[in-house]
Amino acid sequence: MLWGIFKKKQEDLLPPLPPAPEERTTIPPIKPIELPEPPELPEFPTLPELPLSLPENIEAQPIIEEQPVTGNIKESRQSFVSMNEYQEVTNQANAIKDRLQEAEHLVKELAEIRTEEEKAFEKWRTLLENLEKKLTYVDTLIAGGEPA
Amino acid sequence: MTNVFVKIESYEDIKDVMELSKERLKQAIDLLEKIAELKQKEDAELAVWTDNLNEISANIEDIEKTLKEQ
Repeated sequence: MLWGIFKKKQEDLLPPLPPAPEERTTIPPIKPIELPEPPELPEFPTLPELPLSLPENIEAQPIIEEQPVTGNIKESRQSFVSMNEYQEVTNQANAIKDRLQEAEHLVKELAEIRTEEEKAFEKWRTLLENLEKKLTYVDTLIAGGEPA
Repeated sequence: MTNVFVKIESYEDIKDVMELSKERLKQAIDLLEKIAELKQKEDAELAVWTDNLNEISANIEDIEKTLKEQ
């Protein structure tokens, strides 16, 4: 409503438009521009030929494919992780493997210690039995003594 | 700049194995704690036996002294 009032006021203030010209102005023709000849480019240097056979000691590398990131990539059966994450996971897995090997070695050492402990315990038990027999014998001798 | 991604086959299988590994690790930690408790009990038992043997040793010495006095 306000816009209508404003428009009406503007129409009152402006003078009437002049009549449009009947003849159209003609566009001048385009003149072709002559360009100088381009300078000759130098030829590419010839590269050395690549060897046909691969070197023998090549370590296996993960197959890397460039994929556009679309949606939640972790929900599919196959998944893509970034190179940094892949390196991190590989390092962690190797660290776990090392720890487990270390633990296996420790378990073997513990088993050896346990075997020694069992041997020592058996010897100790035999000694105690022997001691008990001797003290029982002494007890019997003392009990059998006549009062002076 | 494009990011480089590594394709991992059987992502879900890896996740499952990791879950199982976590469970096994927890079991291993629990068992180690139990072994540590048993070891403590064993050490306490050995300490009691050391005291017993010391007492027996003192008793034998007493008997010896008594017999020597005769």
